[in-house]
This record gives sequence, C-alpha cells and structure tokens, in this order.
Amino acid sequence: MSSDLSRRRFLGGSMALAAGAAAAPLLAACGGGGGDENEINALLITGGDRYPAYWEKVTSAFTQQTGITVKYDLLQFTPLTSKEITLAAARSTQYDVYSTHTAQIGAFFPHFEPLNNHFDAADLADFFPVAIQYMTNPATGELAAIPRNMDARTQYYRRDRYEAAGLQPAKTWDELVAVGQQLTAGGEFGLVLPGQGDPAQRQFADFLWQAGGEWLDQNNNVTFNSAAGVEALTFYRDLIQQHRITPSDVVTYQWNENSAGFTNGTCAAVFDWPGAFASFSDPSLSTVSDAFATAPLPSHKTGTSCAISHGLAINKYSRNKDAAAQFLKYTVTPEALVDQYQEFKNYPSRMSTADQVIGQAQGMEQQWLSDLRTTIENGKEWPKVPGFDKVSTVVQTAVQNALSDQMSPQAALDAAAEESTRILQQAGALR
Amino acid sequence: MAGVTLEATRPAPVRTRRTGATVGLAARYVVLVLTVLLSIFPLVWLLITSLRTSDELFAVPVQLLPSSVTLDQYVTVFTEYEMADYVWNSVVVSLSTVALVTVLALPCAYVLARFRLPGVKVVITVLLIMRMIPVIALAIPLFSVFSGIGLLDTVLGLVLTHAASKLPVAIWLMMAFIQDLPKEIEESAEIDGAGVLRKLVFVVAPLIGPGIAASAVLTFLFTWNDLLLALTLTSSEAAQTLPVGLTNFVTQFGIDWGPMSAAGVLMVVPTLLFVWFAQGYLVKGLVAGAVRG
Amino acid sequence: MATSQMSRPRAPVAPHSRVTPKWLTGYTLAAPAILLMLVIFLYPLGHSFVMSFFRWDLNSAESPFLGLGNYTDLFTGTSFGQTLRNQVVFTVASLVIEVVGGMAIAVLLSSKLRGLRPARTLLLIPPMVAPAVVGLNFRWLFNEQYGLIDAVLVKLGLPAIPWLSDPGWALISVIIASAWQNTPLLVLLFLAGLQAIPREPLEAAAVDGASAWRTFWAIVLPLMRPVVVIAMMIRIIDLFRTFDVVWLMTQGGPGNASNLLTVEAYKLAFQSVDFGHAAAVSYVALVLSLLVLALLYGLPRLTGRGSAWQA
Repeated sequence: MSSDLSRRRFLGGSMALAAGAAAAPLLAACGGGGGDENEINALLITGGDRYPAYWEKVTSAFTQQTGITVKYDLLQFTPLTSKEITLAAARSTQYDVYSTHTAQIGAFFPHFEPLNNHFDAADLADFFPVAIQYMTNPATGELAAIPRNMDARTQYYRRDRYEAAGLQPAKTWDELVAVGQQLTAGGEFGLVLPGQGDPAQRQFADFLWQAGGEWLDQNNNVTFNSAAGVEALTFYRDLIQQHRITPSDVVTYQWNENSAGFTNGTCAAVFDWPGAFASFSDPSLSTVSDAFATAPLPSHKTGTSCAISHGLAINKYSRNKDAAAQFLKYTVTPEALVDQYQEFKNYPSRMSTADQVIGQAQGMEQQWLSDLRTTIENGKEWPKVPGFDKVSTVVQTAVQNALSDQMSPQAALDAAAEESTRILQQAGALR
Repeated sequence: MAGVTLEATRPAPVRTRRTGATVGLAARYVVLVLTVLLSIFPLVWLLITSLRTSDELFAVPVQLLPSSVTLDQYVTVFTEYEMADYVWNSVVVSLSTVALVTVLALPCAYVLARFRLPGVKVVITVLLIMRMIPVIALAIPLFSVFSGIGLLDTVLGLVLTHAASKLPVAIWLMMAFIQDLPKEIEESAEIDGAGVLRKLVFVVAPLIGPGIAASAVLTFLFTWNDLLLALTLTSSEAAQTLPVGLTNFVTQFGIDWGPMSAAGVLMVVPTLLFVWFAQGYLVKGLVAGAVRG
Repeated sequence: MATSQMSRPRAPVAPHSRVTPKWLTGYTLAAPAILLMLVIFLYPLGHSFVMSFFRWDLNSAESPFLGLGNYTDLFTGTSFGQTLRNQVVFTVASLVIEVVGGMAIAVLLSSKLRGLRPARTLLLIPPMVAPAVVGLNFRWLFNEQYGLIDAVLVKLGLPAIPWLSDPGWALISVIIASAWQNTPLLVLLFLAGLQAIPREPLEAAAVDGASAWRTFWAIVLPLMRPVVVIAMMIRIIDLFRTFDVVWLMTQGGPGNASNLLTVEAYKLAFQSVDFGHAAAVSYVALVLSLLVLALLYGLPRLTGRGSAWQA
C-alpha cells in the first residue's frame, strides 16, 4: 500500500512538472469538494427533457424546507455508471449523494453508506419488498440505497389492429406466437423485442423466470443454463428466427429501437416500461397515441418478470452524511412520489402511494396501474452477488450468440455458465 | 465521361492504338469520378440525414431527398444535449494539446536530429515502438492512476495524455524536416554567437515552418477525432469531448439518430476546414510517414 | 540557472564558462518531452503489464497475484478465440482490400487527368474524418429498416442484406466502413510514391512494347516496394488498434461476431470493471502487432532489399 502511495506521489509530482507553464491555466478548471454542513453535492440521473426540471423542483423545495442547499450534476444512465465507478475507485468525497439502480448496485455495495441507521424499519416496510431486497447487500444485510420508483414491464398492444383481427392480447407464450403470426404480414410485425446488451439480458431474465428457471441456486451455483434456461432462450430465439414475428434485426435493438418499433406503427405489440405509457400517449411522439391498450405480460410456467428500481445512496466517503440522509428521505416522501408519477409516470416505490395513485386514476390507466402492482409484487431482479456484473456481460454475449443463430441456446448458455462459474469463484461468491 | 458514350455508340470498335488510349482514358475518368463519389457520398448522406425532421428519419421506404429541410436536429443537440460543453472541451483539449506538443517536440526533435549524444539512438527506437502501442493498453492503467491523483475527468488529464501519445509522431516528423536542413545555416548562426535556444527559435523553427505546421495540423485532427482516450478518461461534461458526446447518443435506450447526425456533421467541420486550407501540410505530414497516435 | 552558482573548481572565470556544455544543453532540451512520455506513456504501460498478472477490479479490496491466470483465463475462455480470429480476419481482409484497391486506384489515376487536383483534396477527407463519425454514419447506412443501402438493394430487386444483425455480415460491414475511411489514404500515399518513380525505365519499357500489366509488375511494383511496406505498417498498427468504428457500429456483436481485441479490452475494463483481464487482452494485442510488424520489417531485410524504415 505504502509503495503504491509513494508511487502516486512521485507520479503526481512529475506530472505537475511536465505539465509546466503551458497547461497551468487549465489546472484552475478542476476544483475540489467542500465540507460545508449546509450544502450537499449530488450526482443524479437524467434522461429526457423533463428530468432537469424535476430535480430543480425537488432540490429547491428541499432547500426551502431544511435550509440545506443541494448542488447537483446530471448524467444519463451509462455515463452516470462509469462516473460513479471512477469516483468509487478513487474513494472520492466530491459527491455526498449518488443516484443508483438495482441493476448496477452490486458493484457499489462496498462504497455506499448503510442506510439502516437513517431510516426506521416501520417506514421501510411501506416500500415494495422486492425493491428493498435488491438494494440490500446480501453479504451484510444492510440497505445500500433507497428506492425512488418501481420499473416493471407491461404488454402494450395495438387495440385497433387486435380488434380488427378479432384477437385478444396474449396471456401465454403459445398465444404470443399465435397472435403474433396473425399480425405479421407485409412489413408489419406482431411483436418487437430488444436483442442487444442489457435490454437483451432483461428480456432473457423474464423468459427465464417465466419458464420456472433461476439465475443462481441457494449456494450461488450457476443455474441459468438449466432446462428452463434453455427453453427460455430457445423461445426467445424462435420468436425472431423461426416464427419471424419480430423485425429481423431486433438483435441490434435496445430500448429506444424497441419502443420506436411500436410508436412508428410497424409492430403490433411491445413489452415496455411505465414511462412508455406517457410517450405512447403523446401524439407528438407516437403515431398510435389513441390506438393502444395495455395487458399483463404473457406468462408461461410462472408469471414472473423483472421489478427494478432507481434509488439514491449516500457516498460512504461523504463528510456530510446526515444532510445527505435528509435529502434521501425527502425524495421518497409520499408527496414526492405522487409528484414523480404525475411528472413521468414513474411508478411509486411505496405501496401506500401506489394504492393512492391507483385510486385516483381512471379507466385504462387504472387497469394498467393495478396490473403493474401485481407484476411488481411477483417481480424479481437478477442476483446481487460479487462478480455478477461480469456475469452479466458474459450472458449478454451468450444471448446474442443464440439469437443470431451462431450457437444453439444450450451451447451458448453452457459456455456462459462455465465462464460465469469461474468468475463467481474468483469473486468468492460461491458458497 | 464523353469518351464512354462515344465508345458505346461505335458499332464495331476497331482496336487501334488511338481507341485503346481513349478507352483507357475514359476508364480512368470513370475510376476517378467513382472513387470521389464513393468517398464523399456517405458524408453527404450524413448531412442530408441531419437536415430531416425526426419522423421522416424513420420513414419506410427511405426518401432520397428530405421533403423539407429543417435545422431542428441542430437546435436539439444544443438544447437537449450538452453539445456546447462538448464543443468547448474539444476545442480546448485539441488546441492545448497542439501547443504542448509543439513546444515540447521541437527542442526534442532538434536534439535527436543534431546532437550526437549517448542514448539518442535508444530514444529514437523507443519512439518508433511507441507509435505501435494500442491506445487501450495506455488508457486502462491511466484510468486507475489518474483516479488516484484527481486527474480523471479533467481537461488537464486529457491534454497531458493526448500530448504524450501524439509526441512520438510529432518528434519524428520534425526530426525528418530538421535533418533535411543544410547544416551551414545553423553554423553561420553559431558564428554570430547565437545560443542553442536562440538558434532553435529564430533560425531552425522558421525554416521548418511547414514541418511544424504539418505536425500541428495532424496533432489537432487526431486529438479532435480521438474517442478511446476521452471515453476512458472522462465521464462528465466537465471534460467530455465531441466524440464522447457522440457515443452518448448511443445509450442503452438506443440511438437518437437525428441529433446524432447533426453532432456528426459538426464534428466533421474542422476536418473540412483543414483539408481545404491546409491540405499541403496534411499531405506532407501523412506522406512523411505519420501514424495516427 | 543553478549552474552559474555551482561554479566548478576546474573552470576558471572566463567568458566561455557561461556556455553550458553541449551534452547538458542537449539533454535539457530533450528532457521535457521525454519526461512527459515516460510518465504518461511508459509508466502506466509498465503498471498495466504488472497488473495483468494480478486480480484488479473494483469489488475486491486486495489484488492477489495470479501469475499467468488472467492470460490462461483468456485462452481457456469461450469467446476470446473468436475475438482473436475476428482480429486476424479483420486485419488481413482490410489490408488486402485497402492495399490492392488503393494501388489499383492510384495507378489508374497517376496519369495526367483533368480534375485530379480537386479529386485529391476530396480524397483527403475520409481519412481525416473522426472514426466515431464513420462508425455511426455506416451504422445508419446499414440499418435494415431505415438505412439507404438496403433500400437501394431492394429497389434494384435484390434481397436486403442483414448487415449488422447477421454474425457473418457484421464483421464484413465493419471491414467495409474501415476500408472506406482508409483506402483513400493509401491512394494518396501510393500516388506520391508513383510520382517519385524515375521515368527512364518506364519509357524504356514502353519502347520495348511491354504491356501495361507487365510494366506494372516488373518495374512499378518493385520500385514502389518501400512505400507499400510503409503503408502496410501504418495500416497494421492502426488495424490492431481499431476501436471507434466497431464500438459505434456493433459493439462487437451480435454476440462476439465482430469483436476485436481493443473492443474486448474496453468491455472488460469498463463494463465488467475487470482491469486485470483487460490489461492482459491489451498486451496480447500489443505483442501480436509487434510480431506482425517484426515479420514485415524482417522480410525485406531477409530478401536483402533494405528495410522500409530507412526510406
């Protein structure tokens, strides 16, 4: 350690020398974080044009109530993750509050402050258990972030085309194929799916759970290449390659292309997030704004699909943890969550707030919200064990290998399982 | 082109020297035109794409020409994305890198070209090898080193890295130009009593002006175009450059094609300017054996 | 500065003592550049070389020594073999297309043609455009729903090609995009080389009535050999470092179908946060490119024609 430190010091010194006069003015550009008790710094998520206004509103209301100023920077999901990796690796004290997500929190457990001392158990019981579970470090049982919303997918379908063809939205995998085949013809498709990167892993995870499979067993041994896993990936591939009810290039699609396939009218059904309800309804963003309806996702052996959350966490190296905790609490009050729903159709992370929102909604929207509540209650996230972020990239490649017919689902999953076992072993996750 | 139609209308081409030459010449013009068209068309298409409305982008079938021209996508990149930050960072990083590289490379190149010192041969060999190193081999450890000393996600960190990685090429280039200078000029300056530094700045530098310009232009463009270093060493609009901004259009949510095309066009502008106004230096630099650094 | 105070005993006060020794001036002038390169270039390089033998990630507090563990993991893993194969195919195919295509175009354009000067200016554009822009632009052109190229194919009655979603085509698409960008560079280099060829042997060949084809093989190509070797070296170095185009077109997919070494190293480092394996991959890339270059550098020397670097 000490040799490492001195190496750094040497490097820093020589670097300053080398920078010389030519670069000196630039130095002024990089400042450090302060330690004012009435000020916290937050790194928050953005995406879409309404997020900045939302954060502005939340932080200024918080300042009015508590006298604590919140300085914040906004980043989109991917750059946000890489920035936090950077900062965590450097044990940075620059930010007190980090935005995080159940999908990536596994890599950050050692770097987030346990929240159990800041929230009382009774209050935490109001949150959806699935969100609390996946924000909790399984190794220590400590809560690492507070869930701000719930994300679960819904089946959105074209009411007009389904009615014209006398069809009902699919309730099972078999119906999904049958309905899709009837609606696929002449450049129009019955379904659109994502097939690349993290979205492909999400889709595979849903099919895996619906086929009765699991990612890992009790002892964290890899089980995603079980018979259920193979069935799931085979079904996923066949939708594209055999039944051909999706566009042929979905293997290059992530969420935007997925949604675009529905909003431009070429695909009759899509599995999409709560936020899509708002954009599909908006005539300036969607050609199908008054022609769609929602239904629960089709199920197979189970009706399980993912239930995931954005959340806020406190930097373990923060010098102002109490003020940060106040901010966290403020963002998840029932009022703030109702506001978030109205602003973005962000599904509330509190069950009581969810019930309140459902009660106030009407018609199709109410049905959608209460269907989602069921989905979330039955929902899951992928495991939070050390090394699973590496497993994810391996699985994403395997899924694409099968979807593009380079490998059979069995071979692709077996190869991924072998590599994942090695990764989990090296990370010390196997019991 | 005229040659082609002429040939085509001839019923029975008699293969004399003359017609053979005409056919050859025509073929050459066809190759010339095709090569240029192929080289330019994809960029023209990018420009056309950036001028379309968002819904026409996803029109099926593809419309060759936009039904109406709009600058909406350009407005979007500045209002909904941090394009102004990206442009500013790119300009600052590229210009600072050019300044630093020029100031450091010139004296070093001069020493390597003119001084017979022990170790010079080794340095030259190492410079050659440095041009071959994959940038990623540098970027990964720099990421961890920079995170330890607070240079990550700063313009300074990016400038230092770019400068170091462009120095081998710049030194190499300037060295070649200095070696071509007749020694007598410097010797006469020496007789006048000029010190080494004075000689370098007032005699040598002006004489190898084209070499310095070539190195500056190449350094600027390769820094301006770089993605990998900026992608690994920056993570927010504090230091992210245009190419990284470009990748921010490709998120897990998918690609925002309209604004992305507009950003792409903006990125190509300096390239076009340099090609137009400094092509002589560019070609000189490239032909002198420059390697992307 | 400090030297004047450290007056040496042997040097008496004389006007000449102001002049610093030549070697000191030399090293002082060269030092800043060399220091910067040492610090930013060689130190991290050594650091990552060492770290390629350790576990090195964000999750674990310690970094145990693994010996060759990271390297053996690569070669026993399922996907790295494919990545290596892709790299070889990509490098060889690109090299052949760019060098042969570039030479053919350069030879055809080397005579006096009207419009050659503006054409040369335009040819300078693709090599100077950011590869990131090239990648995104070709991703758009190759799009199977909204892209121009498939639309044209369909209009001509040809089947649409699954450019980016088919594992076989994905690598080809990447090669096409990269060749589009770099072939013009070789055309320009070869044109410059062709102009430097002495006229006498060509005229002699013309008098002898040699065909253009024979003249090219027997006279032009041997004279162009140094230029060709340099061009190939430049391209090999770059082909082993290719990242931007692939990252923006396919991210190495589908699956690993268009994955290259640099892309793999980037993914390992910044998606899996696994710097140890990433460092190992980047060293495999470095060693491979050095190996290929050594071959290219050694071959002309072996055949006794002198090395390209002396040109």
